[in-house]
Amino acid sequence: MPVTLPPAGSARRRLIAASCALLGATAARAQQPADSTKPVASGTSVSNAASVPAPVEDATPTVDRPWILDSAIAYYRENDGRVSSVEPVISAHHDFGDERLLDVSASFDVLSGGSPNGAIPSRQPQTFVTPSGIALKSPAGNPITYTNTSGKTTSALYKFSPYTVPAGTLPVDDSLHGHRIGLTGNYQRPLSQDSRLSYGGSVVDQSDLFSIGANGKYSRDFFEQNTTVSAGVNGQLESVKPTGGTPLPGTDYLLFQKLKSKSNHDFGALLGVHQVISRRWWSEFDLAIDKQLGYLNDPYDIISIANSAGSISDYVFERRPDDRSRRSAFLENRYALDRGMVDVSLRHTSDSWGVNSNTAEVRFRYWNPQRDRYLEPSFRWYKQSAADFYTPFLTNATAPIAGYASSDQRLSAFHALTFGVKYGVKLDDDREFSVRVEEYRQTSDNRQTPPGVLQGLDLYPGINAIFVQFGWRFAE
Amino acid sequence: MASPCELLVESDRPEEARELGALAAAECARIERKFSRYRDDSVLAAIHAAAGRPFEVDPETAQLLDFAAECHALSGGLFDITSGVLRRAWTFDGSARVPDAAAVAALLPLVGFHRLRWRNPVLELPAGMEIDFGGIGKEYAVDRVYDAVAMRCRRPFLVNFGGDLRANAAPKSGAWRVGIERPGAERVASKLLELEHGALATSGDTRRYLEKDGVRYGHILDPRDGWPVRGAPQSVTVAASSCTEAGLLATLALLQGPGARAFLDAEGVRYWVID
Repeated sequence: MPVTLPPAGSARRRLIAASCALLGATAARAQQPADSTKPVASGTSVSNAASVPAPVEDATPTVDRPWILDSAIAYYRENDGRVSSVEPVISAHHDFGDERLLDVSASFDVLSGGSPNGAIPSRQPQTFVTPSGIALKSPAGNPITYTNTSGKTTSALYKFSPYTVPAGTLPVDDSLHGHRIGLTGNYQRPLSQDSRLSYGGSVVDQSDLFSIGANGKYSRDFFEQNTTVSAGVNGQLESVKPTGGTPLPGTDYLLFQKLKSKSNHDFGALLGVHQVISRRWWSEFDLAIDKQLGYLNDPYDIISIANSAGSISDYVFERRPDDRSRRSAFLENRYALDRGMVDVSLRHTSDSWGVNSNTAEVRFRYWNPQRDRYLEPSFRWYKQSAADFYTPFLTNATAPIAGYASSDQRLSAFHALTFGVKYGVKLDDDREFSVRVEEYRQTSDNRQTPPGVLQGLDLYPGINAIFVQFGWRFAE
Repeated sequence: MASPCELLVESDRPEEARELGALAAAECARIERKFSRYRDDSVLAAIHAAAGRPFEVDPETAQLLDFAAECHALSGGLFDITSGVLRRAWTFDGSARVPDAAAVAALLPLVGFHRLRWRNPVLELPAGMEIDFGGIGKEYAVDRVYDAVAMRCRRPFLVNFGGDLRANAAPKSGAWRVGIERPGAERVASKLLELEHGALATSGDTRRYLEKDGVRYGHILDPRDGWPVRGAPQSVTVAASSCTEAGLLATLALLQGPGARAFLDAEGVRYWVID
């Protein structure tokens, strides 16, 4: 019997529309193009079928694919009333199906307290001016005059609050207040059955810094998804605008010669292999290189100039090379236990400034028999060598200095231990609460003996810090 | 639903599984009660009792009637919810009781969706005619139960009503393994499919047929002449986003007889056919 049918393909489209109307589906689902449905895979036996990575049938994303939201508030505090910060973070993760994943996160960081200004303790009280002064909107402050690089003298209204540090104590600038907003986003999509592309971007806005970054990564699976090879690139542009101006590197602190805002950029590449070794064990190895170019100074770091008797005669702004190349290698192994896991990672980095570092970290996670509570102790060991131009102080030098020099503690030789423990409570499949406490102890490995009367002072006090984070994870 | 109905939930909490099972059973029972042609308190019984007078139906029934109207239109009249009266002549019990041509022909005036008047929400069904949602009811029930469970459960689950099924997500083991039975060899899977999420529906005479003089009469009847469609594959399985859509595609394919594969190819559907 002859049958009159609509044109090829249209029966299905009409059916999709009709089923959606019947099942009360949303308009978005009805608009799914017919050819976007991917089939299930078939096989003739269990073992054969199991080896076929099954592509999935398009399904409605509304009910069965929740957003997973991670929120946390972190509190960080250094000893001796130094820097403390409170940082709320919220991140969201969404699986659109078909291996399409979106991750976005936002953080807001409020910084307060003081930070070492780079000068060393002295036998005399030392008086400093807040690094660059804080520009005022009202005329309440005192006028300050500064000279720019071309010798032009300008007058402006600044509140410059001097602060005095008692003899024998590490100079810490207490005026450090600031906020930092960070946003990142990352999207992953499949390119074929066994390859994926992910790309993302980031923005950081801080009172004295603005940066934008972008990254892209290609991953491909081999050997039935047991091996994944990834290659990626990333880039970042950063604009540095220290409050009150950018000091000219190497110049006299008191002259405060300023530059306009400066910038730097950063390009990197990464190659990684992720290998599933057994049902319980996977391993990851990454190699990364990275090049930074531009203004890389810490605009607030100053270096004490001491004479041979040990009295401080002057301070200069630090001066760093304007390029830095870094290389790093990372190895991580994770092994699943019956009720937990163990994760061991090692990292080695080296750079053209002479800062070489090694990190070793071990984490254990133990679940209770009901698997609704876990305890995760962790331990991290870190050691780095000093940058070639690191110096805690200069002797018999005069400003402006010719070579590179920095007294930034972060470029000095030190080692650090971090002890941590995390406790997590899983309320149900969709909700998890956690609290993490870490203690960080940094010890200086600097052995440089200061001249004259400076001997006997604790020039390298190290850092003790505590970090507490409350996390709340839920599906929406 | 006249077939085994199951809900598989991947959960280590028995009470959760029981709760979802009860929810699924309740929704399934509601649909069966409402649309069964075997019950005298169903909506269908009320429609038939109206015997030609205008009858205002509830919104859910109206949606099903709209859907049936669209399926009738897009299949060129092959899919017809009024064809149930043909069962008076046909009983598919595996026997050789093929009816008289005259008995079949006598029923044809009572068959044809074009003979009823459907203006949502009012239906006028000529006296003697019957409607029957059997061709879509099971798949519709799978989708409804799926929606009900999905509202309450984010774990991987699979709703399976006699081989028409729908899953929300892959279980931890990677995929739901679904076997398609070879006709005549019940419980022996002739094909094994892997389903992560989405729906599969199978239509065919795997279980319901007549056989006389070496001719197998499948239970898919052509409403235009009242006889089983000839030359159709024994079974067609289709993958789609919803079970309703998959089931209709499988049924429409069978109604094409020998043209089943060509139809499925033209529609760009993922399918598995057993001849």
